[in-house]
Amino acid sequence: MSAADRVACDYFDGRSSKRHPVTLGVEDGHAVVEGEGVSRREPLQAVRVSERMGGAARMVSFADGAFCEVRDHDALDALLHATGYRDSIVVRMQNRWRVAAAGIAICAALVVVTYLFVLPWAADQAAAHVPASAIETMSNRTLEMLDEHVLEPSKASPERARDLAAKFARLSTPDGSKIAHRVEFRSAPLVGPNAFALPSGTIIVTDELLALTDRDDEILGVLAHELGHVARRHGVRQVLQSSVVGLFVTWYLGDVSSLLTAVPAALLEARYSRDHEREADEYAARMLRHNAMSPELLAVMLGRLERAHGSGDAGSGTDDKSNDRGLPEYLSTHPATAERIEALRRP
Amino acid sequence: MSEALTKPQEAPVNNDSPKSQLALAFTASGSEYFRIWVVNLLLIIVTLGFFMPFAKVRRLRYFYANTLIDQQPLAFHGDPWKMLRGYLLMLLLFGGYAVSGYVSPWAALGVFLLLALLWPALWRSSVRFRLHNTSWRGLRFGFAGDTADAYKAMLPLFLPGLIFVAANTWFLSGVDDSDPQAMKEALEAQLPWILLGFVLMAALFPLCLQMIKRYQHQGYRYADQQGQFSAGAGAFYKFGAKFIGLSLVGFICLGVTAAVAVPLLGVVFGNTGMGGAVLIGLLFTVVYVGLLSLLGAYFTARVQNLSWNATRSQALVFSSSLSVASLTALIMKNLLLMIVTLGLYRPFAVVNVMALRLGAVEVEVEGNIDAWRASAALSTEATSGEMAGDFFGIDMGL
Repeated sequence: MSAADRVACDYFDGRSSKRHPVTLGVEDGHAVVEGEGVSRREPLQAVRVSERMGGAARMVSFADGAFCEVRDHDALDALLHATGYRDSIVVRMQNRWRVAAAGIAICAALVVVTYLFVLPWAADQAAAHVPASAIETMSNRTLEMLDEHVLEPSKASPERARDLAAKFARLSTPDGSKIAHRVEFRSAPLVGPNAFALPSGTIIVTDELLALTDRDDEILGVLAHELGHVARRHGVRQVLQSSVVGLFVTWYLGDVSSLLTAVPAALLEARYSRDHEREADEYAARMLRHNAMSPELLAVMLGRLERAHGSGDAGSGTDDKSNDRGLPEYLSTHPATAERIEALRRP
Repeated sequence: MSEALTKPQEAPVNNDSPKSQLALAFTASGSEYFRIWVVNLLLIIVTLGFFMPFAKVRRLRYFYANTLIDQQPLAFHGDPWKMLRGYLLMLLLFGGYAVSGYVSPWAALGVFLLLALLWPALWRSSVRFRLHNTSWRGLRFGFAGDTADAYKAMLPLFLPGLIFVAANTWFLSGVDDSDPQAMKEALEAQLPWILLGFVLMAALFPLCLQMIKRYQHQGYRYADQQGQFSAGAGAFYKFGAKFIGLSLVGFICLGVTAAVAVPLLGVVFGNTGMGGAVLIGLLFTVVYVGLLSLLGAYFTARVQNLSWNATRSQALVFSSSLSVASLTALIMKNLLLMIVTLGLYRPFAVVNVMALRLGAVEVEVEGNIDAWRASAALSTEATSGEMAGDFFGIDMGL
């Protein structure tokens, strides 16, 4: 064997820290190490080669802990090639930019599919199994907190309130099923005209919303929308989806700063919220038609709500491009009002 | 075992033995690590997490092979199959904790206490596993710290922890949580104890940090060398006081800036509504993130310098001069690029932070390193069945 086929490297015996400059070669199925004071001959099966990782030195190690440290990558590759050695598939993947690019594309695709389809589906399945007592406790806590900080007792006429709740209870749901709910009224100067549903089925209507219209049917349209949230378990689903999104964002961005992770998480969750609003609108439209009422009732109310809030806060987006105070849709928890109204008017 | 430690063999250190510097270098490149990272990420996702320990071994091998001390790389020998057992054990413990919460609060408390009680032992076996599987110039590192000392080092954190758990159980057990009034009263009664726990925790944290660092650095072994640690609790309390001072000054400045800047911007931009609000929010976020980066960098750099400047062995002297300013600048640059690239910059960020931290460390050696031999104690230990603690290959951190 010629000296040209030998690879110059460093040898360590595993017992002392002394470095021995040696050459490594292969002769009839044996690895041969030669140098000053070193002479080894081991069968190839008993020799291990570390994977190639960029420019880092590679180890050719023996069973007793001794090893050669090789920096001449091309010479070692040629030597290994002659013995029929092949890099593992992971190493070959790691050394190719094309594979890295494909890897990113596949990871991104998996994440997007999970975000768009798998997670909403899984949250829907899981929401059905959340015990009613847990939903009840969670909703009661939320209402207590709201009552303490945001809401005040209703000043609306008790007759109108009772009348509205009774009218709503007489409506039947699109699929005819009974959905446990309770309509409550509160004054909310901080929030303004609004209505919202808690997962337990408690629907809260603000006095300010009642003041927007004299037509009870329009309020019933809003209640049908809120019942849609209850029927589809949007509250529980949103909690489940948000936890997964939050966990993922925290893991991906690392524990850099809670603020930095909160912003992308909120943006990602807003999409789920918009989907839920669309679903609730659709539910309301079907429920209204089912009771021989027009979806236009809700559409009119959405228009009133938007005009009342004006500035696009409190969740009602606007598609008026000239209005620089409106939030762009991807930032908002609600779809643009014009788009919602148009969807409701579609036959 | 102690004989090997106290008697330097073959290379008696005397006054005229030559001193030399061992240069530390980190030669990993972001683009190489990026490809390793992507392939790891993909395989972790495809195998539903099963590949995690294998990914970790690949990452450590790459980093170690690129950590050169005196031009010779470190090597990592951990067996990913052993580490998989460690991962499954961790999954079992934390999963058990998460699930037990649904069963009953008492079950959760039981699993939590079990975790807390096991933690120092798990931590010790993790440090041990890592060092036993690290080598340089063909000799393995070792870790001499024992389990009892691991518990002692973490004891200062157990006291406030115990107060939290006891206060929670004492005041909240048996309270009907659907009754808001009873719940409120119980929480109010519990509050002073929780506050006491926090105060104790803040007061004991520097001591605990010093004990943990001392435990780790005194346990490090290589050949006949055994770590020595000379920083006392006083030095860590001084650091703690400075850190709290810096945080206070930083947050007060932040508050004052906000109080001045918000009305000022209002005047400058007039009533532009959203535009002005977004600008103010953005500015505030940048300043806030800058402050957090500074505090994080200050903590990392000062603890690294304090710990390594206090570390030596019979023939080795370590020193570290990591600059807070350059680490802050690097962290901020990394954050910005991570945001711009939607996180794809992360492997580059990991590599450049490690390069900065390792580049700040210097090692001075007395005598000729070529003559060092594997410690007799270490080699018998590594081959004997005493590795039972490493059966699970628990490896935390990094």
